[in-house]
Amino acid sequence: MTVVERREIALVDLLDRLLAGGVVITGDITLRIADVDLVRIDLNALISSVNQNVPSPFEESP
Amino acid sequence: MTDDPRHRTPEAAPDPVTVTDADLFEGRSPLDPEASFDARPAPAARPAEPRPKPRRRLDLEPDTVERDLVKLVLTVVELLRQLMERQAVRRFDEGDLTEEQEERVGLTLMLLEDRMAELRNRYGLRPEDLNLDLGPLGPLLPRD
Repeated sequence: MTVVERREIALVDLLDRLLAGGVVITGDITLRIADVDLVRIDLNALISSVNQNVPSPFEESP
Repeated sequence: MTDDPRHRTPEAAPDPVTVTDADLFEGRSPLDPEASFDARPAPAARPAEPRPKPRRRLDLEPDTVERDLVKLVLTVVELLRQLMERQAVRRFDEGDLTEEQEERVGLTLMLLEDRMAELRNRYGLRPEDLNLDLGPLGPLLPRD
């Protein structure tokens, strides 16, 4: 077993890397039973660190 | 052609041999009592050895319920704090913050860490108590 395989990565570090890269989650699901639409889930999520590509949606605080 | 039963041709196949539970348990083969299953290309199923598995659970007792709930909440807060800390370091590396902003973010994170230590001490919790073993996912927070 090499050192790399043995190294343990904490979940907090995984989340940190995930945020640094950024994730977009989209999906549109409608749950229907017997031809009756019951639940609509229209997902459009962006999860990322604030950086040049993903600016903050708020004005820069003075 | 050797006498080894493993190398016998189908025509020379011996009479059906019954494998008893005791043979399986001992890892013996009735065809060739000298050979253990380890020597065969496809070893037969060995009895599974029960492996002691460390299990962790959140114990809630009436007399410690406050401390245990605080522990649960502080675990979540600690995860967010460490995540924010890492994200702040990334932001500093990018260099788009002013010096004053970096100063304020650093000071806030430092005060937050002190405050967490204070709360931990109040409930007699060690830093490693706020970590969770997530099994195949690894630990929640890095182990020191």
